[in-house]
Amino acid sequence: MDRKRIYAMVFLGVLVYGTAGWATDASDMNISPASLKIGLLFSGCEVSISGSVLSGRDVVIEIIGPEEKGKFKIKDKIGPFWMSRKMVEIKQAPSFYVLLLPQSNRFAGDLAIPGIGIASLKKSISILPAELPGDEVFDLFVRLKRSEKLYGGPFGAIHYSETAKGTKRFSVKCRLPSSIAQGEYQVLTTIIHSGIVEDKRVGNIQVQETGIAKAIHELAYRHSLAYGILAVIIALLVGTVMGVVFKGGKSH
Amino acid sequence: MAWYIYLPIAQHSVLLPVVVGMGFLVGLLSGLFGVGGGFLMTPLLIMIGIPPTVAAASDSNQIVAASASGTYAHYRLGNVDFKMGIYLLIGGVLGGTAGVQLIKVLRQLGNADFMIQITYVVMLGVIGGYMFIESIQSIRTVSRTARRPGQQKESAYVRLMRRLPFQTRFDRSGIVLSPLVPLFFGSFVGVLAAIMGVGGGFIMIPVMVYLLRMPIHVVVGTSLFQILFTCINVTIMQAYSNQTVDFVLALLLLVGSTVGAQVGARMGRRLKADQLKILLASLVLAVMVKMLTGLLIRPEILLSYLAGE
Repeated sequence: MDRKRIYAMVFLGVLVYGTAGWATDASDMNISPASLKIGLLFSGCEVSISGSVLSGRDVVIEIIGPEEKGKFKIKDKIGPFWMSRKMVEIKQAPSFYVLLLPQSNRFAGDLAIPGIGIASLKKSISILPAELPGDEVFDLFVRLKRSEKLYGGPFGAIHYSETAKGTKRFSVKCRLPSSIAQGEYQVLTTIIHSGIVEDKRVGNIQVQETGIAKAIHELAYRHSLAYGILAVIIALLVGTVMGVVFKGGKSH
Repeated sequence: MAWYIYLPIAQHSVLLPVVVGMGFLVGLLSGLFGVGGGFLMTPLLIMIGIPPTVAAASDSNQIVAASASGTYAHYRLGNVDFKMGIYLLIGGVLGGTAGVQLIKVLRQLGNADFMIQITYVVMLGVIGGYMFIESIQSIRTVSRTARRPGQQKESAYVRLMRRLPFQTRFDRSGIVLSPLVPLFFGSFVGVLAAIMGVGGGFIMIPVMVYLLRMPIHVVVGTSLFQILFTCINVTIMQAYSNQTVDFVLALLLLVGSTVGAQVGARMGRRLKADQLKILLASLVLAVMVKMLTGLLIRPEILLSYLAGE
């Protein structure tokens, strides 16, 4: 019995430590909408994040997309011509990353909190082959992602409003582009007091396709041959029908 | 009102009138010149944020509709030489298969992409330049040659063509030729098209005009007929192997392109053969300049997605 009690206490201890570690849950953080449905009329979406913190604190918010891997070409100049010379594989990179700072933007120039900001992603991203200059490839990767509007910030966008009882409310709106990948997005709110990280709150946004968009996606990936043949048949039909329609228009 | 529509495979939303308008523009060129238009459509799609692999594959799908519409329009106008088209198609399939193997060898040798691009630039420059100059000279001398058709001297090339076996009459084109000739040139274009990764319309059309001596209006219709089958093959292969065909995107494009192809076919009918050749030559030269510029000017971002990823 004693041994069982000891096991139970150890288990509870681990559970408490695991859930109440550095990052706390998002019970005092609101994310709206917390679930994004991508249908045929989806053109991106504005997400609102709000919550409250003690007065005198600052809030930094990161929205981090699901990890992805991809293969890329790097161009180089040889003689007068620009040509693809090297191949690179980038793994464990978030598909989306945005850093939101308080409107006063006083962190923008000297945000040196470890683990926050696009530069901090460098540590978690894997670049292959390892012989390539990692910093240069990472910079090129970030430029590419920024051009696609999938990486952004820091933006001074978080608005504060004072409330009673020594707390203040923060709120921010961030637009997610239509090209976001499906999956679970992490909303990581870091609370800073006197330049030191005091707490972290984690929330999630679920992004998934729905309706016709989902059906087409599934058909394309699960029954790819049938999808290809169907696409050709419909194209042939539309092309021929348009030809007949034009013929009809001419004869009358 | 929201005019955006989400593309499930490209995973990107686009403005509806812009995509339909782009389809119309490229369809117009397709109907007018008998080209697939992939050289123009793919960069335009990339410009509005579509991933390159999805842009190229979905474009093939819409070309199926545009070329079906264009082929039908030209068929009604009596401009499709089906017999010639089938010989060229058989040659193209054989050449394309050989070309795919050749490209593997070229890639192993290194710098294949650059070699392909520079070959394309040189070929487009030579073909476009020759067509342009020849068409202008032709316009200047057309009245004289029209009056004395019997006095034209027979070239060594024509004599060689006449000596080949299996001489066959191609009624629609109004020529007598050995089927070995379109089979050979079809294979040649197939090899080049596979190496260059394009449909081959830009190379096939000058081959039909200058080497097979087909009338320009029949060339356009027959080219579309051949492109139709090439793109059916590409669409199915891309959908099956890479899952890069975005049917919603293709549908939006083909709504515009099928209408554009019909308008283009009618516009082409109103133009004289030499005018059509000059316009086509200008288009070929414009593409050549664009490709050359792409090789010479530093790209804004030196990193790009690898095809197929």
